[in-house]
Amino acid sequence: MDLAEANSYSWSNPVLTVKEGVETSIFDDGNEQTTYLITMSNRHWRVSETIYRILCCMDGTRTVEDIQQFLHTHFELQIDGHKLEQIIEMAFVRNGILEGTSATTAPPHNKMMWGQFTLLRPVFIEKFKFFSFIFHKRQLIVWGSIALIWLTYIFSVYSNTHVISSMFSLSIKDIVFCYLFVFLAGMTHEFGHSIAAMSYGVYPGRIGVGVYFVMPVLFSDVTKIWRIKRLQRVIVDLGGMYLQCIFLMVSFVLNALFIHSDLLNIAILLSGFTILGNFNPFIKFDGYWVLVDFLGITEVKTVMYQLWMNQFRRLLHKPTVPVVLSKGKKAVLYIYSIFTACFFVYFIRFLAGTFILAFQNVKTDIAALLKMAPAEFHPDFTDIVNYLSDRITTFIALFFFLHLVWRYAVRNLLFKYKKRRTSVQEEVRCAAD
Amino acid sequence: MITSINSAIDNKELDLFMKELEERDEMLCFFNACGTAANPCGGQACAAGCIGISVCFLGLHVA
Repeated sequence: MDLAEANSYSWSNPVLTVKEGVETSIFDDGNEQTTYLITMSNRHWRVSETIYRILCCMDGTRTVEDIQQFLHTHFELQIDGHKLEQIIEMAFVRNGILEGTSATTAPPHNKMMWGQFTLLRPVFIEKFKFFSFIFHKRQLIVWGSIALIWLTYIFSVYSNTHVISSMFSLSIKDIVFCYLFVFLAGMTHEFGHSIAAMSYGVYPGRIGVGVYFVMPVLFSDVTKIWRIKRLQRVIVDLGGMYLQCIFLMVSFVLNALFIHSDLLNIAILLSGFTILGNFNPFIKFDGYWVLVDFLGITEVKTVMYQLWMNQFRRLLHKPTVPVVLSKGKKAVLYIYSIFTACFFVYFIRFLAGTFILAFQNVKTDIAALLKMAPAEFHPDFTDIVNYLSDRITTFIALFFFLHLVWRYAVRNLLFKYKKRRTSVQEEVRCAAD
Repeated sequence: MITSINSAIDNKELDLFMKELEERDEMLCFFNACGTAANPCGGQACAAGCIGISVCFLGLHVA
């Protein structure tokens, strides 16, 4: 059955039923006006009370007319039949929430995240649920305080330049050891998010690797935490740093007492120094999600845009679009938007620099290769490792550039071409008929 | 609310009533490889290196 048939099927069925597994709850956004959450598998919709009421009516016993009548008698909602059909079509048919329909929409995902690869599946991650105890209130306070003291200690005793200079003295073998340790600490970080989610009864998502812009990242899919309370979501956001800190702290103490390895110490500090960078709230690292959950604003960009547009509208004496937020939250968003703008000036400059350097590197490498006589070209293993580590940023930047070209140029052109071709074919078919 | 529903419905207006929440991949930049080669100060895409609270260690030996 194709999508068009599937969706028309529901309209031929007089009684409307919501699919099995669709759940509803109150969404905790910290605002006075209640909003609701509709959940279906890994998809979540924040909806108004009216949409929620309509969904609740679709229990397999009512037709559109019955729902219209029910809304009128029980909630004093007057919606004409045609409009109600339109709302049901747009809200529930297109999203595949209604029985007999298939979704024609896709969930919004992070467009700058690419090259994702699953490392651990949810079934495996769930086996670590027994670690949930470290997210109990008392444990959180005790371990969280100790971790903070330890972080303060390493930041006061060591500096990032000290760690950088230590890195310069390492051999390739030692650097590989550092990579492995930092990778292990990163995995602990991601487990922190998943275990925190499980401690609140949320089934975890996958853990994997990918590239965000040009940054290689580890990620933990915790989309399902939309259904828990705001404060709990903040704890899941911080859970990664919390568990990573505990892991590093325990390693640091063990090393200081028993192992006495300088190399391990450098690896611990390297990972420790990456923790605070994760608080950056301007790109989608942990700091961003803490901000989103703390404020309870799910569409930060849209709301920031609306706030500034309202300022311009006021200047032009035009009617403003209501933004239902407290004064405090608005103030935070105004400040955040200014810092975001400054950060993106830096970021775009950084990306441009990375791209330019990547192209220059490729040009230099090709020129050097062409100049070199074949007899002179005998790279050994160390040469290859050194070359690859020299050029890893170049390769990532080039792949990201190609990804952007594919996504925003080639794919769009192909889509437009296909659309145009289909419409021409339809016109020809209509003319023939 | 009721008035709004009874006016013309389009996608933009529906956003007022129904908004799909984005996927949440909680990320950690684990190699901080982003800026070192391009930025000799050890700067990173996240800018943390430049204010002294982080390190960029992949490729530091080539900076």
